[in-house]
Formats: sequence, C-alpha cells, structure tokens
Amino acid sequence: MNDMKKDFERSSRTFDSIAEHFDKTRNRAWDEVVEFLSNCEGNLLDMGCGNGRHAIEGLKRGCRVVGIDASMELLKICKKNVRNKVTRDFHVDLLRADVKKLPFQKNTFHNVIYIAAIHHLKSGRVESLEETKRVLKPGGRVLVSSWARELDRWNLDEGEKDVFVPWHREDGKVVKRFYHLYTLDELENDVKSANLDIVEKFRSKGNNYVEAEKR
Amino acid sequence: MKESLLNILRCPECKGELELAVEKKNKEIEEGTLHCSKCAIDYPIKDGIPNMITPKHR
Repeated sequence: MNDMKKDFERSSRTFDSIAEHFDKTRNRAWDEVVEFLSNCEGNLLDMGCGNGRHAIEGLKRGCRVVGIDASMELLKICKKNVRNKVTRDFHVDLLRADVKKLPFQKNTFHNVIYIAAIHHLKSGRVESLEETKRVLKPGGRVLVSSWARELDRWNLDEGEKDVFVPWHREDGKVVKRFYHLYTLDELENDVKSANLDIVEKFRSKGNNYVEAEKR
Repeated sequence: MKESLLNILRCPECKGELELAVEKKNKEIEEGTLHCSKCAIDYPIKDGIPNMITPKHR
C-alpha cells in the first residue's frame, strides 16, 4: 500500500477513536474562518469538516454546504450538531471521502475551506490542493490553514517537519496524531504549486493561513 | 444525502457520473448505492452518508 492511501486510513482510524472527546473540545468556530465565510455564497466545500463547527457557519450564511471527512464517527457527530445547533431546516451533505480524490465534478464550488486538515497528510499534500483547484469554480476561493511550525512549542530537531502529537482521551488512553508542521512560506509554496493564485497569507493564533483563488 | 447532490457527485477514481439506487428514503436518501459502471465500483450510502472510498481502502 502506498503512503497516500495510508494517510487516509490513519486519519480515519485516529479520528474515529477520539471523535466523541474531540467534538467536546471543538465548539467554537475560528474567527479567521468566520471572516472568510462572511463573503461566501453559493456552494461551499468543507474539507476535513470534523464535527462541523465551520460548516455550521457556512449554513448560517445561506451557503449550500458539502462536508467531507475521513472519520465516519466525526461525520455522524457533524450531522447531529448541524441538526441541534442550526435548526432542522438546514441541510448539510456529508460524505466520507479522501481529500486527494475528491468525488465531485470540476468547477463546482464557489468556496472551499480546508482548515487544520492538510497537516495530517504525510504525502500528497499538493495533490489535495490540485484536487481543490479542480473542484473550485473559476474565480472561486479557498482558505487553507495548518498548525504553524514557527511556534516555539515543538522542540524540533534541525530539518524536522513531521511529528506525532498525543491526544489524551478521557479514558486515559493516548492516541498519537500525525502532523506535518508547515511554515507559512512552505504552505504558500504548496498552494502555488497547485497553480492557485495567492490572495493573502498570514499567521494567527498559532495557525498559518493561505487564501487563494482559481483563475 | 439529498438526491440533488447527484448532480455534482462523481466517482473519486475516474470522475465519471454515478448511478443512484435507493433502498431507503425519508426526507433524504438514508440507504442505497452509488454505482460507477466504468470502474465497476459500488459506493454504499449508510445513515444518509455516502462512503466514497474504494472497497479495499474502506
């Protein structure tokens, strides 16, 4: 099995096993994402939607939202959260899918959010951005974020970019999550490699963000 | 899933169109199958959520 497929299976397993606890700690949408979504309309794709905290913001703004994730457990929680937190009238389409093999027609989405998900991929990160570009409409925009390698907290060796970060479950079990730690410049370069045009890049609250547009 | 999702949904492998077979439907499609004839793959829909992963990686 190649590395690309291993990524999906690892994420699926990891997040299935921490889904319930993860949901409890991810209640609030990030301000930077809410700001991006304030200009959104039409079709919105949430790549790595998790428990739906950002998908819900898209729904509130009247977007047609499609969410994908590797973890079926998180998708079920997301569905429940949308029903409970938005109102029954809102509908989100949820799919278990791989960010490197998006199951959508080209030129479909006005906007894509790809928040705190790309850093869980050991390989194929640019491929996932090329897929993002394929499904964006011309003129459509994506916001990508990842944990920032520039922070002091990582204690990395020279040249080290990949780490496993422990998640302490409520039952005491420890689950290790894979992270590729991007610098802001490296994230920008990967987005450029996918032939997306950079709109802006910034660091905020420990995360690197790149906003880009499809020509 | 809503039936309208079919308009934008494609096979993740060949990006071709999918055929929908519904087994259980309430307000949305709860159970069913999305079939790609080119790849000869069935993607199952369970609890309203399509699983768009090829069988050996599911």
